[in-house]
Amino acid sequence: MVKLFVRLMASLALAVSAHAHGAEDVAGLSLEDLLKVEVEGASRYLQPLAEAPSSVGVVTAADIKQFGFRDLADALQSLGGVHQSYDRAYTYLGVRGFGRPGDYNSRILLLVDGGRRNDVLYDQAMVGNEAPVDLDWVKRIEFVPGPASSIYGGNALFGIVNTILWSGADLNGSRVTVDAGSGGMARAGVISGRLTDTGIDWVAGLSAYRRRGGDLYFGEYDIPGNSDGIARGLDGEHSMKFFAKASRDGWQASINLASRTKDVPTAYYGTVFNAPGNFVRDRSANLDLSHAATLSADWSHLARAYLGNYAYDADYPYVGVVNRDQARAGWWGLDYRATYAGLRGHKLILGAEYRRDSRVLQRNFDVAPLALRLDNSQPGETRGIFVQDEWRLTPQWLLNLGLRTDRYSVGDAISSPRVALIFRPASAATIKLMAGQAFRPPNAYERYYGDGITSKSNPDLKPEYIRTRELAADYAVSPSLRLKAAHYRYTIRDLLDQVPDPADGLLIYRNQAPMQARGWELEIETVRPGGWRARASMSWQSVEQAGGMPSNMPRHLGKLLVDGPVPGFNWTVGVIIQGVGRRHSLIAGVPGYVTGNLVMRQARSERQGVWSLALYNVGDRSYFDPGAREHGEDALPQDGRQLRVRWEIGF
Amino acid sequence: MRSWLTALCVAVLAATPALSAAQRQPESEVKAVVVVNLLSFIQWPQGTLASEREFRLCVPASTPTVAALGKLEKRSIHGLPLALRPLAGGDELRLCHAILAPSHDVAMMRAVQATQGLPVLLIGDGAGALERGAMIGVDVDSGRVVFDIDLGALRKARLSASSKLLRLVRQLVE
Repeated sequence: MVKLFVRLMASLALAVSAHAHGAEDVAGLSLEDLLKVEVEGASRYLQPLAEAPSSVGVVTAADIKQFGFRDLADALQSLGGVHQSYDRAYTYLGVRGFGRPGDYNSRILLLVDGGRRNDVLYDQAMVGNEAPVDLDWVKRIEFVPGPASSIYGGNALFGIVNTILWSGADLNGSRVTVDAGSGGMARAGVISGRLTDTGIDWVAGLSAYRRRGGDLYFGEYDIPGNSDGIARGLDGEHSMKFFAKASRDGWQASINLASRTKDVPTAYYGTVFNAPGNFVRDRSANLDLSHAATLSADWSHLARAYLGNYAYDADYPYVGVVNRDQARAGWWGLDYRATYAGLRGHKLILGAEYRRDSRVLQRNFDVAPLALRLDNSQPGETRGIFVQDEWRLTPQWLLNLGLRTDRYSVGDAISSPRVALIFRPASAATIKLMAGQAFRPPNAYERYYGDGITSKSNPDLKPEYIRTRELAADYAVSPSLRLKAAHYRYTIRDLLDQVPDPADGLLIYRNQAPMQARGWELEIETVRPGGWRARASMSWQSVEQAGGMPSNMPRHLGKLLVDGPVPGFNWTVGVIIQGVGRRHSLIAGVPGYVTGNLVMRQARSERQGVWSLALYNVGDRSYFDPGAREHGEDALPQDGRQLRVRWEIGF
Repeated sequence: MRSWLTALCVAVLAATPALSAAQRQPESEVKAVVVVNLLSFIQWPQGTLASEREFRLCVPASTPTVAALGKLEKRSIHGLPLALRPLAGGDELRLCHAILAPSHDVAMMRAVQATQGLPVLLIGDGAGALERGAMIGVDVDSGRVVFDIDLGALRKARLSASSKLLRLVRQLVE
């Protein structure tokens, strides 16, 4: 495998050196001649968001600064219909009322510059501090809700998070950020990039984060004579992230490395409460090599070869013995898609993907005395082909048809269709009617993990499916007032969820009874004189499942974002108020809550850099997220008021 | 299995640069030069530029077009050196002579709001610019850069376009 990559890199180097930069200088041309120059670039075939088969939400770099977002989940939660929860080990995203505690976001696909970042063992989309990217590297985040297996294959049930990182041309220099904050938080990051005269666009970023963490109170462990329920200094966290990419003439090579360690204070899986040494560590490495090109007037393509590596380590302190979890995954794959625009009124995309999961190892053992409890290796492979047609019926009507078939090492081939009818009576208004199906095969963790202490395996699991229908409308009433509305329904079949086996009390993944949901989303965005922007969204959703209400599914979500410059001062202010309705938990339920963040930032960049001050959970509101099966707590306490001071400078 | 895949990769990688070597220019670079050219064909009300020492093109959002514009700074626009200003929003946008923003971005909404009635040229980058309040929209159509003009919006800002510009326009909104 390494050899393959070396060869790929060598041919890239060859191609780059052999292929002289053919750009003649356009700067001297007259306007008339400029309009005759043929251009290449993403937007030649890039789909305007208005014509995407989904109601896409976007978070820009400006939003990230203005609202002080700290991680991907923070940024995504500002969008309508999204909520996050945190079990003090990982951050989980809930979409359209659906959020399973402990599902590792395996129903959301995380892409970085178009490359898949979910690992192949847990299928985890890391969106909290554990994410492989630092928000300073992010140019924009596109959240594409709805099923997208028809293009991307497994895991794209509730949506795609496409994270687009800065290019060298965007940066043309360096930026440094230094943060300090509550809980002994310190972070520093640098990103540099440039488009050189030789036509090479390069960018590299590095960041380091550390948080000491405070004491946390867990009522369930407040047992007089035994424990006061306070986990002392067991919420620490540190991470290190790096990425670099270089591109030229459509070729791009990128690398992304991340390591993050988090102490776990919740005494999950029946571990000893308030005992040190309870931690999770995630390390990942991703290499991508791609080539995007316009081959002729009608054909363009994107070819990608990728290599991924993921390692998970965790210690569980039990009475008298420390139990250790190790998971190792390694994979590589090839992804090819060609776009054909030669048929009048059609844009066809044909694609094929092959992925080899060369290493899928799970191990569990007691450290001393050494006792092996699990040693499972399940390499596998998957292949998929897809086709999509954007069929422009009339200038106002667009029909988007897609179908993908995937075949895994285990099980039958799975087909995922999607159809969307898009109507644009005027360019200020868009109406979309969409229907699609997506799936997720059970992953190696759900299938084969079992330590015999708290959990056992279930190799016979079946894939789960979601079927979604949606009607969405977007209308720009005026250049400064936009309205959005969506109504959707979805059904999940064979939902993969962890339950206790009544026979022995061990946790096991089982396919569950069907789940039905429906919901509404409304959003209004306006810009007022003086540059103040306000965006408000409300969503209502109801989820039903035979045999009781599932946990962590709020019926109501509301958000209000306001930002703008303070007249007469060199500061901008950003405010977010977010409300999450009451959620069921495994036992009692957690109450709804409203929290607010306030960010003040120097508006103009000074020679000495820019300062910003962010307050999260300004009202110091005490709120909880539902626990999962592995938690002794029914509700997990979240952070109170947090302060972050940031200094940033560009040069 | 692995060996034919390797061979396939190498073949694809070796073959593609030859195919892509056609003389095409990066979209962002052509757009940037078009934008700078457009500025010379727009007339500002008398006196607006007379007392200025630079021509301020404000670019509230960082985009590939903006990056490409970086190379064109100091070019002469109506006798003034072109200066790019990455202003974010609010009243300071009133100090700009022209603003370039992505058509579908809050930066465009802000620019429209902040410059109502002022002689500030609003240029939208990407489809749907005129509907979002821009006076000129720069887009790509069939692999070539094109622009649209809203004459009414220009008039309201007391700006005018030269007849040469109107000959080259793709779509003219009266």
